[in-house]
Amino acid sequence: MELLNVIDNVYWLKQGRRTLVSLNMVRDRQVYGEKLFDIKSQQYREWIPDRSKLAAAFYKGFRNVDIKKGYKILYLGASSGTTVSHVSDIVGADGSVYAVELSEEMGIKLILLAESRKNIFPIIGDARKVKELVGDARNFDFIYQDISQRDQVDIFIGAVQSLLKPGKSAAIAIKTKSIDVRASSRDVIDQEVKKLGKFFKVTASINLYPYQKDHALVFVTKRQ
Amino acid sequence: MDNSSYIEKARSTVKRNLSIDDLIRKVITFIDSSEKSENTMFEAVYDLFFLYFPEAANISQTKEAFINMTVHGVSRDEVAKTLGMSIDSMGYDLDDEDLQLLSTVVNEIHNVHILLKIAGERLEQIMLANYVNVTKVCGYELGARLISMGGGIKKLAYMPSSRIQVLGADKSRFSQSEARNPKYGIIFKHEKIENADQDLRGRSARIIASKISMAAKLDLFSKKDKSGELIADMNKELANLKKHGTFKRNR
Repeated sequence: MELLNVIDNVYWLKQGRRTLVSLNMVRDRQVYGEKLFDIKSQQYREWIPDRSKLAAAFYKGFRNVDIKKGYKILYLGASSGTTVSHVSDIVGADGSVYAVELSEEMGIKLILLAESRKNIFPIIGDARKVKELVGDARNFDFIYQDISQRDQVDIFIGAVQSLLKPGKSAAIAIKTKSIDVRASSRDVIDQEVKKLGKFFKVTASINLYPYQKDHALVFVTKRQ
Repeated sequence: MDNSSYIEKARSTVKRNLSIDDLIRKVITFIDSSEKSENTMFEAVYDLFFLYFPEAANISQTKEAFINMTVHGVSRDEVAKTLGMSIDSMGYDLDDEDLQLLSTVVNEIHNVHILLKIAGERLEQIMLANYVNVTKVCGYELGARLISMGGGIKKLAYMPSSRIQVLGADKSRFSQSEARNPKYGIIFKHEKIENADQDLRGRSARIIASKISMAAKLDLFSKKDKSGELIADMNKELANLKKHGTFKRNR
């Protein structure tokens, strides 16, 4: 078994096929039924691309994700905390993940996750009003958004403009079918990337097929 | 930095925002899935019973008839006694062990049947206690389905009635092949629409959707029981529709 570093605390585990893993922050604790690997007194959790769009981006060959140890991260659309748990692995105990989720039922799982991981700050509320929800927290190092709404790109632009540090990057997972059911995925992505390009520098746009259908992950950088 | 204050705040938000609508949604989902499993189980057991006593099985083919037939036991003696027919059978003679298995599974079906009945009664109680107008206008089951599909009573009350009319018909509403909008969605389960003439169903659905919309608004805001007026109004408009083919009141 061989570990290849991708970004902080994230590795490719090579044993025949490659598997994306992240360093487990809470030992022997699974979040969503993923596999655990014990290698040289460290424990790693499998990061499944079918469950997490960020993992799918790594599997599609993208590795310039600007998330590092100690970062302060805003996560919109946290759901039950699948991807959030891995992001919390990456930033480690010194970092923090502010996770916003609208639905109470999903939020319950998120809160229970936050009780075992001290760097997750759960917020139950609408991502449209994120400025009021995060309180004093400003100047985030990275913003990730994964909400399936028609106006998700506008919400993302608003959040990045007001809350992200200049020069830092952000990522948005676009679900094309919730923006326009009838149009083809590629057209919707092109149109939304163009819209994002007016405000920020678009660094990458990744179609997540076959791990996620009709989804794209777009990375942008806020200008200085 | 400590996240306990955030956790505390999030916990209280969840506690505050969970409502009776969530319970209604869960109960409806529970009833649906139990019904489904009951049906699958019934089909398998019916086949097994058919092998053993085909004469009796042939008489009672529906689930209700089967449950009534096996209420005193599953052996040939007991079933023949319940139905009042001859014990003679061309079926395969089962051993006592096999009969034991059969009776256990039949018992399970009986239990699920009783469970469904209790769940339905409880749902009716909940609906009557909280949303009396909606319940009386469209029945507790349809009312509960509309509330769970619409995403809570508040959303339902703010919804235009044309939206309520096609709630649950998303597939045909958004399909590319169908040029026209659907006439009705889940609301079709309403007895007044199901029993209406074929060519008046769409218009009946419109009337009933408008009344459900009003009932939802009443339940959300005033909480008074004005269902009598609503139902009288609805019946009048439906009668007009049947008579003239239109539902304008002054005609």
